[in-house]
Amino acid sequence: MARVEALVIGGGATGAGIARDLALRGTEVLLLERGDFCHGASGGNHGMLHSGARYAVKDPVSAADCASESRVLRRIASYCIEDCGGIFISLPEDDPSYVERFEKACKATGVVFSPLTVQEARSIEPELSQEARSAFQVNDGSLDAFALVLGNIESAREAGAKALNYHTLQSFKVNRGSIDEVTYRDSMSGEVEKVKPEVVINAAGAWAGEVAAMARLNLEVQVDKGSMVVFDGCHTRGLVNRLRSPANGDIIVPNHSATIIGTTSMNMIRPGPAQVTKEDVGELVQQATRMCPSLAKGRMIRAYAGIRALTPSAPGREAGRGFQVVDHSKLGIDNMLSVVGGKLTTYRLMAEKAADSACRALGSTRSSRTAQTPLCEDMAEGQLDGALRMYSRRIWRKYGPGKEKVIAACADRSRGTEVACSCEEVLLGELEHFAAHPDVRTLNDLTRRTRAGMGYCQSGMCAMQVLSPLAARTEQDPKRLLEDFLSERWKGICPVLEGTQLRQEVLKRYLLTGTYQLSIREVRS
Amino acid sequence: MVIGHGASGLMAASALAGQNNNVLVVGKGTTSTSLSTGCVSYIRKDILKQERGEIDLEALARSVHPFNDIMERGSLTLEEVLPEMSSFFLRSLSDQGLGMTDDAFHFFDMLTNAGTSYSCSIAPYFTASGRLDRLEGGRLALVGIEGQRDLDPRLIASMSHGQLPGRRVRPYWRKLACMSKGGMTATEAALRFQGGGQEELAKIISHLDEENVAIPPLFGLHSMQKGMSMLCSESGKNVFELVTPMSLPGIRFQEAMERAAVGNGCRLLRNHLVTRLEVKGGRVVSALIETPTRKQLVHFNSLILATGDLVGGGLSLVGREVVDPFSTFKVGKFGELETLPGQTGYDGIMRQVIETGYLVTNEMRLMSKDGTPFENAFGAGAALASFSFPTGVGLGGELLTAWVAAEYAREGS
Repeated sequence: MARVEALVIGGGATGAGIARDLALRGTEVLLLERGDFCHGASGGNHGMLHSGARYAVKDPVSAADCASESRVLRRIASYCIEDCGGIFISLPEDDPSYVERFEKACKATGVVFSPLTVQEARSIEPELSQEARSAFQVNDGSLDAFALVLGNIESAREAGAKALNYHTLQSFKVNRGSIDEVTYRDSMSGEVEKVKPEVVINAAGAWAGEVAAMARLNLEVQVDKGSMVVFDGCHTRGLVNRLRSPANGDIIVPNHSATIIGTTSMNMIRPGPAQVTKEDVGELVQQATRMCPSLAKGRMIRAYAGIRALTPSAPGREAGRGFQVVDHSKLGIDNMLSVVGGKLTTYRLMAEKAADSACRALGSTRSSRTAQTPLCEDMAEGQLDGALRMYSRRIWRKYGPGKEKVIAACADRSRGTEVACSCEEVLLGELEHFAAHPDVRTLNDLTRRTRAGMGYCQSGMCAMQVLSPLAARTEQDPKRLLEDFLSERWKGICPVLEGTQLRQEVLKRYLLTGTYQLSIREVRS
Repeated sequence: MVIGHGASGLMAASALAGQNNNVLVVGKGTTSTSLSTGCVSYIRKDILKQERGEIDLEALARSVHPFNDIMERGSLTLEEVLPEMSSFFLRSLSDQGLGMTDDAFHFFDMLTNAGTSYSCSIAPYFTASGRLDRLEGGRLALVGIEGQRDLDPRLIASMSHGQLPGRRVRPYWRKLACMSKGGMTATEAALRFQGGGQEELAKIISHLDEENVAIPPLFGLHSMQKGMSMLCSESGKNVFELVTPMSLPGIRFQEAMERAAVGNGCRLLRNHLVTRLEVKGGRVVSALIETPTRKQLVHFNSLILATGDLVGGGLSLVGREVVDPFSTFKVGKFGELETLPGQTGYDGIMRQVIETGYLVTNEMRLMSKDGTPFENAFGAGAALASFSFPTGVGLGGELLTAWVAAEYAREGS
């Protein structure tokens, strides 16, 4: 039977980060993810690189972690970060005493900030509400979580780790207080495999409690749903935050070709499919337009929700955003760790701490290199030909450490530099490359990696173009692949559909369900 | 005056101008017609009695519900109107070089592009059935041209597995020197192709093993008939083009309709926006038309409103509510439509929106907001309630309403 030093459960930012951290230390790693990478909270957040300011008042530890980690990420993951800065503003209805507490707390936690007059703030962000009272500038940024996680996976693999998506954990075999054998299953082919790990690291996020329970361990995880709405185009230059105790609809994040507003917080009893309701959308839009009134005339293109795991100190907003590395040896299993809580911004630190514990268990003395080792070198255009040179920066931003392979795929194919999705300027070569990648099994996997179909037409115009490379590579029925994809997209489109976006959807309907006779179903996952 | 220069506006305009009326057509931009597949069948294929090449009129009538209701109560009958409209339509368009397929089952089911007699078999890629069986010989080559994305041979081949029993379908990607530059619009590509690609393509096709060869739409309106027959004779194969939306078939159809309308004596103003309609004593009497350099009040005896549906831009949206951009006419849903299960689902929401449009009387008269019919304003085409649903059945229904609206408008004036 195969043996491995470290088995990581979960392919979100934390799991991918742990895999990379351990692999860079020379540890043998196998990572299992039951969905696609970014399946959980890592794929359902607003992509905010926290300066720490948001948590300064309530959760000083997380704030300090965010402040230092955001600096590290700017160094090691610059390809997936828009270093656009952020502003905090308060409005007349907000508690004025919060301003003073905010300043004090930022100073205490090492969060860099500078006070602005409202006029200064409005000259940085012209769309800010005229009612703004106090304003501060902070070092927030916008982070592409997909690119970050996939970059970590890519880098971990380069360092020798094995990472499998669509592989479900089936059981642990516990023998004399340690996990002896782990059974997992390819969720598409159904093939079952076993592995003997020396140490198991549970980084399953919202599902960490369920994973622990499979080893008869009790791990308390609080599951919280957050909803977000995507607007077409960038409405602000940088991030805009509400200067108040964290509440719903406090954050506006420009991201690629869109603006994301977030979030809501709703306690869930257990992790499951998170659906955005019309009420969530109404609440978010109402709050966000208080800060940035022009959003009211904006075009909503989609809504999505993520479920995050919080450390179980207090419910929802009251819970800290800190994290814990739980060593289960005191509770009966001596070779298992769980990582719970945390933020996307602190994923690397969490990974480092978890990997430290794992190394202690393995008897390894090597220390983490992730804070110094960039995921990907800076952009160098080199000797790319005309068309590719034009797109190379976009390719770098999306794929980071994987960019060479993508560029080669575009250059090698005769139609490689043809634009397949015009909203997001995705090249056919990018799609061909990922369609041939063993990680990619569904159309969603393909669009998640390339951003094809993520623009305002929501794949109405490019669906066939995106499908084509995958259809050629798969045994699955192409029509079914496309229908599954469209049905899944519809879930996010439905709660925000109105005005021009509705018109767009009608055109999409004519093309796809009219001309091509596809059917879009209601998906209840 | 006709507002809207898509299929239905131009049809109504042609019909009226052909009877010596002075007709002005005003259109604002890209029409849905030019984005469509340019197919005219207005009934679903399952209603055709294929073996006898006949039409089941009753089923046909059901399929054009709610138009059937209008026809039943009005003074014109479907049996009278259909043959008249069809022969007028065929006459007008074939003069403009738009080929009608000789494979059409009947004039009720017209496909307007010479090569596209097999359109419904593959072009809507997923409905590969029916007409492909009529191909002679068993083998079919799908030839995609690099840089031209209307026919993706690999995709269609993988889609048609199991749907084309006993037939070998083989995809080919081929390069044409004149079209190697990607990212062209369909019209640009057509121009380049006509400037030297035809012989090259004929040679490529003649080297293929298959007897039947499907190609993407490559010809503009004026070179289509000659070009397609050249490809067939030079290669010795049965060459046909597949239909695709948002490409040449729709553009050709639009162009032919425009030329037919002008040929019948209409005046056609493109890129003109009607910004206001004036109502006096139960009649719509004038329209204000505008361009960046022109503002003019046009008076008329009768108005035909053929502005298209949501996609065509004829109707407006406020949130999820469909409204009349002129704030003049009554908008709603036609008759008592059955409620779909799951009104909040995809079909429910889309149908709710798509079925809403201008309401008309049995004589195609538009109504004021309180429901009073206008004496001289008629509605036609996809702007009418329930005329965009179900989708994907061709422009026949729109043309028919336009013809009938024109008939009533003529009687009225």
